[in-house]
Amino acid sequence: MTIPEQRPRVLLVEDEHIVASALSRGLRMCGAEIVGPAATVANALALIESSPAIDGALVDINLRGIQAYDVVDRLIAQNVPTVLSTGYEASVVPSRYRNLVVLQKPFDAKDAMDALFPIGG
Amino acid sequence: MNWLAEAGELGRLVREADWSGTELGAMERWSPSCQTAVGICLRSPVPAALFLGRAERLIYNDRFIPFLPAGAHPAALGQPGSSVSEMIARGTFATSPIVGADDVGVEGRLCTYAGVPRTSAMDDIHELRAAIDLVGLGRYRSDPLTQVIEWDAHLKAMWDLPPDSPVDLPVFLSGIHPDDRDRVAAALGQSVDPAGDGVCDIEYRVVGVNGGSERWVLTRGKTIFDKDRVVSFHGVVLDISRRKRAEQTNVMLIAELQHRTRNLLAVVDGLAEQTLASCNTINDFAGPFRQQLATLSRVQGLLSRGEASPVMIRELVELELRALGANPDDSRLIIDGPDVPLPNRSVQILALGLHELATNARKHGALAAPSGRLSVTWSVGEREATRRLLLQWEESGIVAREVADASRVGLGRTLIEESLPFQLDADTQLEIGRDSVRCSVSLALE
Repeated sequence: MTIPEQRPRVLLVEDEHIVASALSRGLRMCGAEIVGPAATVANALALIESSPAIDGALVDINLRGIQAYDVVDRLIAQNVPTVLSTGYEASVVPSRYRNLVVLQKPFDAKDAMDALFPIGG
Repeated sequence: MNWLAEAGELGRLVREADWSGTELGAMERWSPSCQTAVGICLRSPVPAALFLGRAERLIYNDRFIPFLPAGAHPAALGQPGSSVSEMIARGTFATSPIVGADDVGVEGRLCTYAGVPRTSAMDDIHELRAAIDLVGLGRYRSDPLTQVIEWDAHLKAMWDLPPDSPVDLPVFLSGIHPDDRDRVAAALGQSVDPAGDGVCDIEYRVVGVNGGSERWVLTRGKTIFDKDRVVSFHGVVLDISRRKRAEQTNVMLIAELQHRTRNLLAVVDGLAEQTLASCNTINDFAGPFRQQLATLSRVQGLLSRGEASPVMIRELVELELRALGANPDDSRLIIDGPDVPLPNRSVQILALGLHELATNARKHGALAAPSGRLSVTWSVGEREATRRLLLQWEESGIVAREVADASRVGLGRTLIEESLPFQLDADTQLEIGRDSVRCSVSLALE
């Protein structure tokens, strides 16, 4: 992975606290600064609105049984590199997001960082 | 009278009957051919009846009894056989004359069961129609030369067409789901290719000519060739919507199972890390971690009951206390509150929180000392038009501890003070004093 010069600000959207805590710790160890975590679509949208700059986002596409594509669309509109996470098969992700990396749970924070900030990217 | 041995109930009745009063005379004086015929009749593996002598006196075997008028057995034995001969005339029985060697003429008739009467071609057609209707098959036939397509009323109904409506290729295609039209057309094209086997076997979606609700059909058709020329194409269509729905439910269930399993693995992964961080040495890890896994396992058991039978707060509290060896009937324990079903998504994290509280109580708190008292009580309140569960966990009478297991308490504290608010929008408070523990949790029930 290629880490930006400053600590990159990564928005974490994940509704399971134990998972969100572990990922936060892991992402921080990989050099990221965490925005969030957000457990709901509304929270995530509010964070995108209020946070100065977001360098990347890791989004669980299912939050308390609600699909999080509103969040994904907002991030794409703002050109924020976004990686999706899910417990479902990657094939459930609509085809319009086919150029986004989908990580299947459980995964390592480092996998998310590598996908967000690819070498030479 | 050996020739009547082992010939069933009727063998005995025939032997015991007094035939001397009839024109047949005593049995031992019957001709050998008659005796042989009686033996064959009684031992026949199929229903059989024998009409003997001028009066056509009836002798039958055990299997024949159901063919007699109700209640006629055993009185029918030896009676003139007019009552049964009508049935036998219908062709259910094959009749053979008994002709003796001594030229006395026909001594009787042996009738053996020959199965259900042979049916006519019309009967066959009716049966076939009934079978087709029972299965719900729609039938079609097309003549490639004249381009005429014939459908039966059942098939037309699948396309939302009235029974008298004409059908042609565009009508057929317009009733098919747009996404499936090319596939169907390709399959049909293949089945009229003389190089192939002429069989069309395809499942596709039909929306009807008015674009109504989607249903799945299965069609099997066959092309008849004369050399390389197509003579006709005909086949049947079956509505398989119910089967498809069941299959789709299955696919959904499997996807949901995958989702839950992977999420659970992610939680286990996170728990392992959290628990490891709270351990002073790696040796401290296995015990608590295994207990957390046991809690997750118990929760899976509760949740697998399905939506129709929600998890109640009381059973969750009792389950976690029991798992740590506490008896809910113990007088030092108060567990009290109304029946409250928990939202499914709250059960797992709540169970982990209760588990940490109970573990702490068992090690250092109310469950560790004879003087300890634990009360877990709850009620239902309302805030901002939402029903909320208000849970109180109170321990008292704790022997003041010298050294608290600060890190382990920290794990429970994280679950209660961070996980529950984050995940369930719960309001929580946890106070761990030297001789008391108080925890309150308020969470939305919708």
